[in-house]
Amino acid sequence: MRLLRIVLLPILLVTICFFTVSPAIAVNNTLVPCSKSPAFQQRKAKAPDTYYFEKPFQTYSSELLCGDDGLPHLTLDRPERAIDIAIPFAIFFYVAGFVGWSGRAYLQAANKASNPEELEIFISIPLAIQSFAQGLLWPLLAVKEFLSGELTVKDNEIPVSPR
Amino acid sequence: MQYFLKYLTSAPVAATIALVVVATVFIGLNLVFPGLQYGTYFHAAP
Repeated sequence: MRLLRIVLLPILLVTICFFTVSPAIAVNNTLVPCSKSPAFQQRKAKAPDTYYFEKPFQTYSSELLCGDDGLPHLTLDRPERAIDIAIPFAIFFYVAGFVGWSGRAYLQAANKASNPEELEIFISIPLAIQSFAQGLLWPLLAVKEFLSGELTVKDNEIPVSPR
Repeated sequence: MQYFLKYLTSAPVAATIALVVVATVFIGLNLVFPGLQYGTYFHAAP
């Protein structure tokens, strides 16, 4: 199985690299800055006159690109705006990892304690704070554990149903 | 008092407190940065 993986994976990657037709990358010119889009201006004029409509419309008009429909659209075709997606994605990824890693660290620490069941029912605040601190460093810890083999268990420790 | 604090650390209560804190943070963000979304705050005007 392992040999199959070692042989098949490079073949698959090479096939994908050489035999997929990449779409032509062209800048989409139908999007204009929202401040210059008549449809967007119409929507802005019709919007209710409150804080939660006024401020977002101001920001959209100065920052975003609008289509014919007068609504802001994200473009994935120009590298200079890729950061708009990369940064929110990075924040999401880090926060998701933080949540997962803190929970894992807490459960692992609880399992080593003398009363693991109680620690799962009543959250121990000092232990939780320690786990959060570990969670903040999760990208580093994940790399460290991956390299040292602690991140995953060995194949023969995984329970499988009888076949 | 110590029983009340212990009750606050029980998993369902702690989860509810965490949820309320996160909701408060997001409501606060919406108030301070209305319209915060992809493309609005990380890039200069096109």
